[in-house]
Amino acid sequence: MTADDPAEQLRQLVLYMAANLVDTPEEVQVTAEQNGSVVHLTLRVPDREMGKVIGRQGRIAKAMRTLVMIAGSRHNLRASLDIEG
Amino acid sequence: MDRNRLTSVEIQAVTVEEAVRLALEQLGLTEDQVDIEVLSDAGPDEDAEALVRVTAKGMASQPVPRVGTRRPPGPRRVPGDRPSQRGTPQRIYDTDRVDAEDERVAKAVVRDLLTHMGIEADVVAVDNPSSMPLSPDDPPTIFIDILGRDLGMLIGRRGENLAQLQYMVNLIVNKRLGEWTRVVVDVEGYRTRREESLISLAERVARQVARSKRPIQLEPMPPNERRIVHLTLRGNPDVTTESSGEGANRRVTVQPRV
Repeated sequence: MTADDPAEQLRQLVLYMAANLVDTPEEVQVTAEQNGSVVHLTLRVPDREMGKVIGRQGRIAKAMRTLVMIAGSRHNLRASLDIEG
Repeated sequence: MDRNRLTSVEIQAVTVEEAVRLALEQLGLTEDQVDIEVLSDAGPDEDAEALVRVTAKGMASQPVPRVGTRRPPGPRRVPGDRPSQRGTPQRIYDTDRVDAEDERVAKAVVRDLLTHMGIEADVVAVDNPSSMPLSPDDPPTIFIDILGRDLGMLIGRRGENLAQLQYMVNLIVNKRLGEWTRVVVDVEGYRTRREESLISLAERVARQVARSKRPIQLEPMPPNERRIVHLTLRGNPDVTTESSGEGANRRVTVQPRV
């Protein structure tokens, strides 16, 4: 994957946000899988950091999904974001 | 009129259709059971608003003078230019409370986020463009404006995407800064234009309520927008304002002062 790859750009966006929210950025992992016009992103953080990327009532996760959705729309891509501990 | 049985409501919303939908919901009636009067049409302007009166059929509604049509939008203000006073309380300028280094951090975070989102835009720090006073309890506040083309998606419907962007910016900035600092993020002055439109809406609705002596319920709004309506009408001798409802359905009602 190159940096010009839209799926890779979305992956980098999630990585940037998550790494700047947790206490141990080196433990953040993000994968991106593209199927046609859909990009499926998976964010993995240590269990103890889950609250930092999900937030009360999922508020942080919602913000991340909104920004990923906006970024994806610029390439006519639909993006989904799963968060796993 | 029997107060226990609601037979007529006046409601404001983005479009006439939306206002009618909200009104029917409140009356518990269907469209064929009511008479609909359009008091003010939203028209094609995204920031405009519609005002309708919906009355149960067979119940006379008092005639109320038609409200004036919306004034054309004024010239766009450059960031930092102060809006007119409009009789609102004195502004408190707070920019000197903000550390220049903190402002650089905030701008850098917004730039980084936009770059990762594949959005090309200029990111500038501006003086408080709002005519609403900050409370002494408010944290130091940094005002950022994002300038560029085709940024509508960054604003979203009624600023919903912008609110999410601002939330993320605040999380990341405050993870880096020691003292709690608030960052208000705007796109092409959207928040300022919305504020002006809310102030004129509040004043227009207040005049209508003062004339008709009947409350008008505004459409659901986020907290910052409800605050603008409350502050605008705080000193009004004819009306009072009150929020009711929960979460995303919380809305302001403008009532005649008794």
